[in-house]
Amino acid sequence: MSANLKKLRPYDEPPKTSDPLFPAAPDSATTAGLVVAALWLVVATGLGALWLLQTIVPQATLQVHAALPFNLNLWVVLEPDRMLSGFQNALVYGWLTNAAIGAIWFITPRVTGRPLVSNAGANAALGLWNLAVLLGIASIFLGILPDTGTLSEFILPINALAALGLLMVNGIFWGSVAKSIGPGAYISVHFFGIALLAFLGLYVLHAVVPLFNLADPWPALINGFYVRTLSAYWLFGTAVGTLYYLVPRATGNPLYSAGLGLLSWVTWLGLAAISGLAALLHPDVPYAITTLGSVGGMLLVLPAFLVTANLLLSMRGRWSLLVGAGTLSFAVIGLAFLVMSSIIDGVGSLRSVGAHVTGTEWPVGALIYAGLGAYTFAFLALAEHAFPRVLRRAWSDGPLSEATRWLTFGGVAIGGAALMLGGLAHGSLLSQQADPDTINGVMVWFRLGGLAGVGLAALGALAFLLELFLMYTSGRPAEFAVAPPPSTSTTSPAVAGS
Amino acid sequence: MTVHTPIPSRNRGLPAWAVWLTVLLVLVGGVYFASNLSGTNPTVAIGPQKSAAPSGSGAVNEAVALAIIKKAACQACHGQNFEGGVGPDLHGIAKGPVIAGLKPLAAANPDTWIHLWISGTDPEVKAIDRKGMPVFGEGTLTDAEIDTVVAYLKTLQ
Repeated sequence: MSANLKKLRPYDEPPKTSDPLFPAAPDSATTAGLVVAALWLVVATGLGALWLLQTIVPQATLQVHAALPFNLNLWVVLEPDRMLSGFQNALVYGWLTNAAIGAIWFITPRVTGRPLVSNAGANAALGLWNLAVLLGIASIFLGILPDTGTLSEFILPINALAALGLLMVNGIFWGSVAKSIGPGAYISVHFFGIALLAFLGLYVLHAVVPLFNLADPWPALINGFYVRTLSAYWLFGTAVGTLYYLVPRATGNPLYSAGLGLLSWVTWLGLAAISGLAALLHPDVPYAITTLGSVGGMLLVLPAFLVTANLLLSMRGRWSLLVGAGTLSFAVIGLAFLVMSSIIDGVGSLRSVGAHVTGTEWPVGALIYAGLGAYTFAFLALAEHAFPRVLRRAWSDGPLSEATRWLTFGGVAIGGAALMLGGLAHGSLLSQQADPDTINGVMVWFRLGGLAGVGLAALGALAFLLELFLMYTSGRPAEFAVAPPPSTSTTSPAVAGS
Repeated sequence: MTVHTPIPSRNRGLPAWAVWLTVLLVLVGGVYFASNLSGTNPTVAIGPQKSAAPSGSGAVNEAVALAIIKKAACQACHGQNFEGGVGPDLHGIAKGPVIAGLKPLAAANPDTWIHLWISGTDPEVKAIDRKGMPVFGEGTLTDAEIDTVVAYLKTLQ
């Protein structure tokens, strides 16, 4: 009697299949990007809390040296400068960048109607990027990097890995939208496209600077230019592109105005390009150039306001959706922080204010409002919307989503305000030439406020990760039917998406 | 399978208030720009905790010394602001070494012990446990560069 190999019986082993190294299923790259991002959020907020703890309790530092075979040495240096650098790098390169790439992988096929050209490639790009970020942040704490700037200048092989990952992300995005891009593409695609090109270009520029052996302080000045422009283009652009998708989707309303969306895009495109010039504070740089940068930084409030107005007007008649921990409530908190952080950055761009707060805690407080506030809430809104759709499971009904929202909101509001106020006080004390003991005595209270805030945000991040874990392991199955476009609206080719 | 669901818009035009707001803010920016055209930029490298930055004396070429220090990656071990890390805190180094093993060297060579220690090529220094401190005098830094660095380090209070 011969066995039917095609028909398995209960005692048969199923045929062995090998899993591909990089999954190729639709939305697998979205899932990967957002899950890895959630892990980075926990790491980033944890490092931020540890940094503030070390500024309050200097004894909470750690330096370990171990002699290894072959005359090698292992150093682990956990001191405030490196902890701050680790926090900023993990926040921007870890959490925000992974979430932004996950958002691009999720939204692009849905607004263009065409799948990504390669889901396996999208996963591979994420893998390369995260390997580079992991090695880069490890090199900060292993004492390999001599310089620990706001966003560190990693060593060349790590930068090459990261740049290759970014190149792949760009290639997959542009390959996917090649037939849809143009005036008819949805506004999110416009924001994503420019943000991706800018990120790649800026990253490569930043990576090649050390090859020219520039004299001090030029490397630090160029790092400042890089950080400002990266924030304006990459973080702002991807967060806004995400919100432009989420708000109409969550409300079921059409976008208020395609023209307003285009105006916000054009103003952002121009102003973000010049905002970084404000960082080039050197006697050799013409004064007018840095003033132009300050103007760019100040006027970035304009696209932030236009985006917020457009999206708030798009919510008309659906305000009840703001109650509860849904996508829309996260998105609206993100919009509120977007306007606030743009105003704060605008004020900080004024020459007099910039001179007063440079070198104090102000920039970190401003980063908390923008990075952990505006952009984080935009991507948390995306996670609320996207995870049930890609995992086909519903969020749990427990309090974790509320905990994520309120702990993160409260933490960012308290922590960012404490550090910015602390920065103003620090600047005043420095201008009075106060001695370090006096400065530390005053600053400890602001740093305690910062620690409380970032600590709360870290708890919020943990709640988010736990909620995600529970959804994946025990969430009830859910299917999401996509509603047809409203028949009463006047569909505009500017947003039709195909 | 991803379902394509385009997002429509209520209108394509541009609201008048948005145009006026844009014009107003661009004018404000233009006025600020026009009133801040002349002047000289200070040298400010963006970064937190400027109070911890070392203060150099005017007699020492601080920029050159910092460039050499960066080339030698001293701050990797001694901290970004020389506050100490894997290596010791360098503030107050003009008063003498903090590592006990270096005190005999400093006593015998009060003016040159820092140079001798950084260089690491002198037989007297080779006998001291360097605790991971590289020998900079063997191809990494010249004697003149080490002198510049020493002059700068002595200004750290």
